[in-house]
Amino acid sequence: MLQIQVRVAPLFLVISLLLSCPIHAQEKGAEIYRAQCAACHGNNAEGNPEHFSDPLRGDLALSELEDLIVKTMPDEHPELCIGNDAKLVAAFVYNQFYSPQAQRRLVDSRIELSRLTVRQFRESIVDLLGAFGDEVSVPDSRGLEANYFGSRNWTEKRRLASQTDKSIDFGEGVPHFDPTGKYESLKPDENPKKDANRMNQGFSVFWRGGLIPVETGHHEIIVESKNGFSLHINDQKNLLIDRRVRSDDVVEHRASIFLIGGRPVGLSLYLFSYPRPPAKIRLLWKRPSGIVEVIPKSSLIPVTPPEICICSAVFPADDASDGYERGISVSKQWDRATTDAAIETAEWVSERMWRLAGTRENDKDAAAKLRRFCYQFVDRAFATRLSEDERQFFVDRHLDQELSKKNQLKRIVLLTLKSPRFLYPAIQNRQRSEEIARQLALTIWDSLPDEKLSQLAAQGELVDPKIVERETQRMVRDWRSKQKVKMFFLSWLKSDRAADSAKDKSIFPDFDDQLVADLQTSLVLYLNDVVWTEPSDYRDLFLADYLYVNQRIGEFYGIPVSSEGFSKVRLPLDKRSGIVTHPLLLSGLAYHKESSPIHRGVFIARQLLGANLRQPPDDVKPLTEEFNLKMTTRERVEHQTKETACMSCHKLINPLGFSLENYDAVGRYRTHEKSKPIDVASVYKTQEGNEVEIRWGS
Amino acid sequence: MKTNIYRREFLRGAGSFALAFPGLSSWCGLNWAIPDFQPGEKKRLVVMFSPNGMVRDGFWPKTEGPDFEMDQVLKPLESLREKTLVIHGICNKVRGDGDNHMRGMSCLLTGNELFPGNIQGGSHKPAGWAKGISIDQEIKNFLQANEATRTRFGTLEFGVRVPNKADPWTRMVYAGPNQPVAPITDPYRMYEKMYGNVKDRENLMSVLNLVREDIELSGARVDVRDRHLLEAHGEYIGQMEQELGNKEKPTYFVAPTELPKNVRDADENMPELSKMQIDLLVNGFANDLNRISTLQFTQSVGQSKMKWLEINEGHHTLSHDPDKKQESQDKLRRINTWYCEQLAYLCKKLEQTKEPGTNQSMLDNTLVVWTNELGHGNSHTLDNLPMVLVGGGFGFEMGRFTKVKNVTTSRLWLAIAHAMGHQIDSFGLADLCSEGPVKL
Repeated sequence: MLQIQVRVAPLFLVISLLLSCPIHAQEKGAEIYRAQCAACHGNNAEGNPEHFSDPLRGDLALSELEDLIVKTMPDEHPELCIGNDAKLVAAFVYNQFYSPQAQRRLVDSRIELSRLTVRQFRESIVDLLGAFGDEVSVPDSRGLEANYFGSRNWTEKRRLASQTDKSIDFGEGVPHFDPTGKYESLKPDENPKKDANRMNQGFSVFWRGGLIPVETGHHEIIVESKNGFSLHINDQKNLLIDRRVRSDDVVEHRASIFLIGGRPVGLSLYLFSYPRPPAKIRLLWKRPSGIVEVIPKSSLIPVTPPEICICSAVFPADDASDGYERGISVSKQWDRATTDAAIETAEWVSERMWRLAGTRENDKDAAAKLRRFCYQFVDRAFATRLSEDERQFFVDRHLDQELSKKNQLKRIVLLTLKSPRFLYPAIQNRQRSEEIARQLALTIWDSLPDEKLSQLAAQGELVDPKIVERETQRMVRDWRSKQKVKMFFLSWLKSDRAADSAKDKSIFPDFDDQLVADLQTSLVLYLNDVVWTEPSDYRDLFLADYLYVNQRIGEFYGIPVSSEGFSKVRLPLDKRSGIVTHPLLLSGLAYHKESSPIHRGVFIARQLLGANLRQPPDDVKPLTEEFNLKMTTRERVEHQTKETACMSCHKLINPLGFSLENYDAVGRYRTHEKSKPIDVASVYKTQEGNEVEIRWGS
Repeated sequence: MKTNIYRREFLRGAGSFALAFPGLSSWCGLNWAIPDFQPGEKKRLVVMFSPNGMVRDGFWPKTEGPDFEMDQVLKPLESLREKTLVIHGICNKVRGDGDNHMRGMSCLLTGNELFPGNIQGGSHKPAGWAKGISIDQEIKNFLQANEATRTRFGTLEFGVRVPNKADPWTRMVYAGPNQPVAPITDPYRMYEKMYGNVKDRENLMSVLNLVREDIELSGARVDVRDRHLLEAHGEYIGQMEQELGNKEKPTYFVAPTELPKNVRDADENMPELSKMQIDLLVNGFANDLNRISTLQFTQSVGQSKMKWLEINEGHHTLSHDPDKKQESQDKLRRINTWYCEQLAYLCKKLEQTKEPGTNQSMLDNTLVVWTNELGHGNSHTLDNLPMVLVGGGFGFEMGRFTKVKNVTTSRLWLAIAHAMGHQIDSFGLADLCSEGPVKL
């Protein structure tokens, strides 16, 4: 548990005094700044490329800033500004430019025009077309519906069992395959000859349901089986893998498919054995991050979601320099990617246009229905109701062209998805109610308004705050917002660092991809608990005294686990508390052999405390263990960062990192390093100048 | 980028083994234009397949040499007699798992055995796919490996009434071991594959114009400080327009075939479907989209009901009747005559089509092979397969009927590979071609 003990608070008074200091004190400070600082830092502290290029801003407390000025400023002549001068100029700089408050005041705040981020683009396409099909509901239950038959095909009277299978991991043989038991005693078919020849000789299983990917990107789906089988994923018409003809004893069959994290897609797998070899099968995936595993129960649902339109076009990464993705720039690459995605979607739509329009090609009102579909398609894409002129521009002129229906549709889809009205949500003119709907959908779902929200928007209902609140509540409960919240946490906590950090196999032989995948699941389950279950208290992010653990995690971290799968295990408070001590984060914030107090400290400073650290100097490499084999990690870091120049940031970073030295490179708890007891004693100085002792656990 | 579209088409063509690569459709693919005209000799190959064995009487000529008889079945080729070579004595000697229809089909062009598998036919051991590449794909790979002979598709696999199921009876083309290639039986889909990108390009071009207009209009509505974003966006759109549009040359030599509309995929439409596919096949050659084509009518054990010939029984059922049942023999002769008419239509169409830029007939640069999975229907023999070659010959002496003794299919494929310029020593099972290419 993070225990905050306020030990000293003398600087409180100083700050209050300074903030209320008389005008002439400020003028005096400004005068000193102009005389001694502005030449290098710029008149408005904006920086000067020839001297000190960064703007003057940061997180040091006023007292620390003053201290820094006394000791180091002006450059090479620190004796010129000491005592009261240093105090006055420090206060001036702090209040005018340096402090976070001053920064907020200085920034010209307006909402910049931005385009859809990559995630927003993909999500919008799915929902734009999903709106013309069945609604998706994601049940709480997990696993796949399974139907077992004593015949080669789905034959009711030869049904052996119906159940939910948690995963398809039957390398030793599928259930109910029993040539001598129940299987033989089945009633023969009414046509004995046919039965003798065919029916009795077969065995089959039909698995049906949905697949919920964890990540976005190209997945390899791997089926291991020597039996005949066929596999559909998302695309209901074309098989992803067709292995109905068994040929040779090939065991492994692979196919690649692009999936969007959190977006359920339909999955059906038909396995048969004929005449009667043993039936064995495993269904695995290789995730974009490289993890290969049996598709886990947590990613399988026993209901089949409708087919979705997935854009697999390769987009350049969005600008995430502010810590989250924003669509603030365009590039040639991005323009091409949106074109590819538009072509892909146009193809998808044109192949399904009659179904999407709710008609059939030869129905007499088919053309009218297709036109209506096109209007709706563009309306939804722009989150508004088009004017007559707009309808003409985006729809009618194309439907009146001498072209096949398919090509007419393709042009409409291409134009709509390439339009700035779709790509930049702020561009389209909308009624206020529609604009609110657009903002809600973008904020809560990263997507477009759904059917219900669009209707309310069109009726002008969303100008009523009560209705906005009600809709917000509804939308937050939707599974899509859960996905967005999850994505927020995973990117905020930089959870993918662990997957990227290879550990030394000779020291940590069992720290493999599978363990990392399990730790990710463990983190997600925990975050779900904190956010989505009562009392839903954010403090549990730091105070929770439990960890989700399965067999593999339990064995690795020495935590006894009794049940199969993941369970919540309470741990002694001195061992773990909250996200910061989750093994996934701790191993991500470490080197391949040793812990890294600097990475951990920077993480806490930037991600949790919101500190604004400067980039470290480029040419500094961390000292490795070989530097001095007797030194502990803490001693090495202290040695390397002891210079005053380093300490301006490291006096914040180091203590935060040292406080986690009880956890090694893979996040295992330790009490000694190099036969020396671990020293976690560390102090954090708050913005207000208070000193706080940092201790994780009791 | 070129490999992208090629790979996509390849995977799509790989039929039952096609991997889903949804990500490969891209605007780059739209830029596939017909390559510049390549002077010099082109060599093309067509393998046409019809099923269920051949009738003995009414097909095989009695006289060897140039004065051979063109009896009822071969009659449609009369005007092409000088360019026709009929060979007796080519045998499919591949044994192992699978019944004769399966091996007849899947080993015909591969000269290789079938893997053990789960497809049960007749009383033989169940089997799976062929263990090797088929000769058309082998030669395709050779042509595609060379810049001078590379084409957009390399091969196109046409089908007429091939049922929508994948098994060793329905696949004769293999990209490699265990990689059957499904023929495209829907002419509209084939058209889409051949010319869809030209249409898509037109679509995109027509839209980009409007997008720029839309961006300019939108620019007026946003904050001045944000306009740079839209201006940059508009420039990229302009660049793409240029890249797509600056190809002044026509995107094809001859106009794409106009297909009749709404022809349903059904037995009674077989004559029309056949014509559409053959028209596309010749059209593809004329635009140099590919140098190799296969044309597969139905499948091994195919049961087409050819009502337009006033035959109501299925083809395979008829082929099981004994030779002495004259009525069935007569029907089988009519069926095979119809197939020969398709061959003749194809060859004459090639003959009438000029090589782009020359006065040469395209048939002179093409070899068309018509064959079958069985020698004779009711005996299910794999010996003495009907083998009719039509075209310029590529060094074969055409215009005659010749008999060879017990020559394996592999040795004939080897000879054809050599004639096409691909000097391989062995193809398929090495034992079956140890004597080298057949001398004709």
